[in-house]
Amino acid sequence: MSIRNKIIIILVMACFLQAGSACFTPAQAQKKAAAEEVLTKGDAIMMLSATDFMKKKIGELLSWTVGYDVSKVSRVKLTPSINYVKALPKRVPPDGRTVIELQASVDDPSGLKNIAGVRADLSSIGRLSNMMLVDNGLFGDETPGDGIFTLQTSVSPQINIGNKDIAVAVSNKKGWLALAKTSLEVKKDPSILEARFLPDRVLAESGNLVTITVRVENPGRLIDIQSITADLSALQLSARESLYNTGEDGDLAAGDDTWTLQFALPKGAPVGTFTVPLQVTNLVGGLAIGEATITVYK
Amino acid sequence: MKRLLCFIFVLLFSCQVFALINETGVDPLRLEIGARPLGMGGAFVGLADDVNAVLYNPGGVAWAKGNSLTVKDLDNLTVAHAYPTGYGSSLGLGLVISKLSDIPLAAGPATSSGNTVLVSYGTKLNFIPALYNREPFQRIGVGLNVKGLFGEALRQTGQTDRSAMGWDMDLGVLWKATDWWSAGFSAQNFLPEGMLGGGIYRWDNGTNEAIPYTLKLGAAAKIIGDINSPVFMEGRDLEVAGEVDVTEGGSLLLRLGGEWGINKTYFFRAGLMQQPKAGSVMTGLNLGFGYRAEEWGLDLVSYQEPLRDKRDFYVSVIYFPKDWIVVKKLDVERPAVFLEDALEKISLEDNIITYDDRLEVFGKVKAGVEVYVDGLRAAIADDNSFKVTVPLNYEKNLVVVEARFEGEKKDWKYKVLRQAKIQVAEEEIVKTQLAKAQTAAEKQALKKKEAEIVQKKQKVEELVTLGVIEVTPESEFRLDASITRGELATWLAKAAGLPLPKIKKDVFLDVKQDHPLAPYIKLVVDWGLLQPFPDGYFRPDQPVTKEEGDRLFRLLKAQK
Repeated sequence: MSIRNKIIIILVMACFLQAGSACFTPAQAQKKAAAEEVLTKGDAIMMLSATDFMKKKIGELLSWTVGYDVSKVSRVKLTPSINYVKALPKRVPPDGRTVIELQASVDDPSGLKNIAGVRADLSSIGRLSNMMLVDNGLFGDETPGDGIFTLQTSVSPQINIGNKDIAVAVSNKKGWLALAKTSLEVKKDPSILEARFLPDRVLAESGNLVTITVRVENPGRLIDIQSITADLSALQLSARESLYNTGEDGDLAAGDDTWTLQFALPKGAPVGTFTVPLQVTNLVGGLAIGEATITVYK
Repeated sequence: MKRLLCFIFVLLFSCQVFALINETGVDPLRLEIGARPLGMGGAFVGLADDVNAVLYNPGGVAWAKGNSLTVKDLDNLTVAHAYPTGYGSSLGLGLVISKLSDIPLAAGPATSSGNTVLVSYGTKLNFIPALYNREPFQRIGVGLNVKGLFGEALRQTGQTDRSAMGWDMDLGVLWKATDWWSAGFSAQNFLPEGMLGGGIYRWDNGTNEAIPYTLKLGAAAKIIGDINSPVFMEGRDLEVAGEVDVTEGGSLLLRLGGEWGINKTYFFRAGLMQQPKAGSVMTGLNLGFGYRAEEWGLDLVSYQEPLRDKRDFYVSVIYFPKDWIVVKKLDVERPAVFLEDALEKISLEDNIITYDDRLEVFGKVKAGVEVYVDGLRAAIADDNSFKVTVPLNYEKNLVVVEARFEGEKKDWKYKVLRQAKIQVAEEEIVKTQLAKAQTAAEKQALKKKEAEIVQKKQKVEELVTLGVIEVTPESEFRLDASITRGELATWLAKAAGLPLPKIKKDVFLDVKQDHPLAPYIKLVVDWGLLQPFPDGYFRPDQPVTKEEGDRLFRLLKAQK
């Protein structure tokens, strides 16, 4: 609004209001107002609309050539949001049976009820490209209606090993979309995290008990470890001694990630430092090779 | 001795030839042609947004398409082409036929003529697989020109006619930093002398002359333009460009130019252009005009030619079909989607007036196209349709629908005016009365009254839309209700758009600090416009009389 128009308003208001207040006492003004016909809102509207400054404003309002700039683009947050997406386990064998649980925690500006669907593109792991996640407390979903959508799937045996991205899309009932992704590693081979003898120095001819422990990681489940063996031929024992995860014979706990073998050092074991080869195999044909060192001294 | 004299003669003669290009100032591989770039003072390296990129900055060829024919006269023709491959790259071709007569030289006027053929290729940097999906690299174009000079001839009175051939290369980069500004660099004739047989003019007498290189660095910005520009003006564009050139001789040349566009149809251009002129630098003012139709355009320029210090006029005709692409001749595959056609259907039309507080936007796109509405991504159904709901504010709304495909994007803007919907109590009453009216006179009177109400209702809606009056959607507005002093003060203050003061204490005895109208009442009092009653009351609820209103109305009308 120009200064001219503001001054006009000011002058008009001054005239108008002073005419209504200064010329009469309050009692007189009240009497006068009661006695006289009052100004209606309709008349006031017409009066305002007829002013130059309002005509200009209305003209601008109805103009298609002015005022449509970037500030007129809605910036309201309308899309749903994805708090996180995760796939468990992070490392999976391409066996078609190890269950992957895909979870997406989502929200929406209009509440969870406005979520129309959560879908995942599983084509990178050899599954359909448009799989629905659910939040109904079924099919692996823990709690219905908590905003955490779940899908259980597996990696197709035809998929090559490597990192795979899984895109998750959330749409709401107003047609908006949000995307996020997670990744998992398709892997066949297990890994040896730690391997050691306890004790790692043993007196020769002592017949002392020696424990070899191997901590492993397996894509998918530990239960799919097929065998863990140690070549103890250097210590005058078998070249293929199996380690156990039964919670017995020196193994601390069954079903954990540590396999154990306890044996007595043979009387005829030679003196020296020996590197014992280890081998881990799993059900999908994966293989890990490692070693542990023991010293036999005299 | 004879051998020595002969050697000296050859040396002198060859030196004369060697110096000819430098002496005349003619550099046949310095291709600064095209009415639009010249109209902008030749500052085109940082802009390079049309087919002229082939001549100025091959980095811009990545985005270029179309044909251009530039004519000065029948001896001076330039043809430029750029063919988009559909993979973020374009192939360019150029042919420059030039002849410059009456070049003033100390030994007599000279004439230079020559033909230059140019092959260009420009691509976005994301052609590298690892960078394919990275948007910053989709904004960088790199390009290469290979230029061959055939039959350059120099004729001078009293001298033997000489001809030369040679070839060289240009390297260019264009960075489209945002939607409104870009920067570019071009190394023209960058081949070292003799490398791969290029970088030199080979004269017919067996001597060689190095082709001088030029390094160009420039930037361009659309200061005024679409909503993505710093200043938005409907139907207006202002593009400014600047450039610094460094020539092999050490000259530093500055170029500045601007282009003012009206409705994307008419363009007025002006530029200051420095050019080398026989050991010195000449500054010229170029003026140009352009016209753009749907798929073709015309550009004119008045340009200061430096060698003869004379005004030349160029005319360029350009043709840029929307979906034009080389398919058969160059055996290049057609891209999956042309963004211009990406939206198959859209529910919107421009210039929508609505009373609704939301707008459904739905349509259909080509397969693989992503749709963003007001910057937010829309879900695409299996049949490539989409449907989203956009909230609308009162007054003006701009709905931006954007199609994205493999790093490219195009947007469409729709103007929507949302007006306030008001229910006027009298309207229903009159309608009821009209239905019950018996006589024609009665009906006529009621119809007249109804028309008045409709007119007033429209004004109410406009004022509510502008925020001058507040009416809740559920409530009825009574036109015949009296207006109070407080209400009128509020309406006037809002209509005037004056900033409201902060209320830190009671304003009047009957207008406490937390009174909803306190800021409006204080505003008019602070401006010295409104006097409270002598007893310290304002009486905001007291009705305004008709007489006072009429007086005010007359005063306001008097200011028309």
